[in-house]
Amino acid sequence: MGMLEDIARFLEEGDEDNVSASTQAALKLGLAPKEILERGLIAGMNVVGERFREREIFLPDVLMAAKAMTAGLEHLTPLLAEGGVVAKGKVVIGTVSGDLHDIGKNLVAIMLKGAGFEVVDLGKDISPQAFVDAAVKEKAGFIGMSALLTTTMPVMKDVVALARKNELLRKVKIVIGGAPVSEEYAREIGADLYAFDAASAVDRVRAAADR
Amino acid sequence: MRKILRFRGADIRPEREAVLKRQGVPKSAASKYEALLSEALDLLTEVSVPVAVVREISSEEFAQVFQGEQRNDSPNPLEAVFPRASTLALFGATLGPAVCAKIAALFDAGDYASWYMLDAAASLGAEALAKLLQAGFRSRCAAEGRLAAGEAALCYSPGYCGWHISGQTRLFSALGLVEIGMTLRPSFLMEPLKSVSGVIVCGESGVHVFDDVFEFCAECRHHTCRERIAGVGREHGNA
Repeated sequence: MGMLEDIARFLEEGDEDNVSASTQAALKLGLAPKEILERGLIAGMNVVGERFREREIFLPDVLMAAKAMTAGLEHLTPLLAEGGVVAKGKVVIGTVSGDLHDIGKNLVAIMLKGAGFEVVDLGKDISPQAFVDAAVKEKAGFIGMSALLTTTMPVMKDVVALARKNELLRKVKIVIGGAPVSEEYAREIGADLYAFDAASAVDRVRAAADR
Repeated sequence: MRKILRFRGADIRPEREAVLKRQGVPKSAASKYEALLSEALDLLTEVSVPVAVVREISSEEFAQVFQGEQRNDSPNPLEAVFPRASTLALFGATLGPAVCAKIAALFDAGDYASWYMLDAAASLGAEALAKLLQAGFRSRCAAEGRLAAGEAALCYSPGYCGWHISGQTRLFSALGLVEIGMTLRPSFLMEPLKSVSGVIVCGESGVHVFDDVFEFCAECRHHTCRERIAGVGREHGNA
């Protein structure tokens, strides 16, 4: 079995030590960082995502794999940046102001990273202006917002309105999710995408990025 | 009468199966996560400092609290339930800030599986704390001869089943929850996050029965009211 397949397999097993060691070994052998990322780490995460969707494995397995991916990325990220390799897309993500529930947002961030996206996690309790400023500064392709309360959900509308007014964010896609949020609400406030859960957030962002 | 009640971390330790179920893990796969689960439950027991305020309240006074900022959905189940209660008590309870800090630290350290396991355990721990208060209040009423046979206790909380979350303001004020370190943000979010609040309603078990046919039920993802109501029935051998 090849080294890249080993990395993918170790990642699927959530074996962070071996992912780290194999990634270093692959670099020493002269494999390109981009190849290790795509055919090793992301390939492994794709299998994890697929098995999760098929209910062959469960959330703790996905999270262990994500940690293993981080271990591999630590070696690759500086080299990818040096080589000018770009991520599949950049997502600025956060929980809207007034809301401190970040579980869903964190899951989405973890899974997006696993799918090869660059994620700028603004954290929780984020104001509309902070979302927009960060999206401009980071030249983000996506703004991701989460809210768990009906009282904080309207902040999403403010973010959408503010982003739509900004000429620099003409192409940005806005994705929203959270317990009280619905597809209908996303349409109502002018968001581009609605995600029912973390896995569907990744699917929808990936599909939009590929378009 | 208002009482401050303190508990041990072990008192709110949730069932292992429930913590896994919360994460979508079926019983058949549970053994794979034993170590992770044990670690999270031990941590929860160690860092939680469960504390609560409980205050018995008249139906008239509760009507004022329940009214909140006049933003409840109408009709809603609780407006039909509480006037038929024999006794009512407001409660606010928290696992304390340390467990929330630990959860955040695990995420920041990239220990994602441990982070999510502890978060799930702590959410269930907060629910377990509410159930302890509910059982304790019921026992006290029964011991004082204020609860007839067949009467059951059940908690209801702002933010659920048509009781608008803005109801937290009056509830917090009526309980003086600052004394146990609980505060409310302008969005009515409780801090520390792993906290619960609401009203314990004691009454005939049938008082708690309602169908999930309210307008807001269509938007509800979980319909946990079904399990709660079934639980009341089981308690009295009606299920």
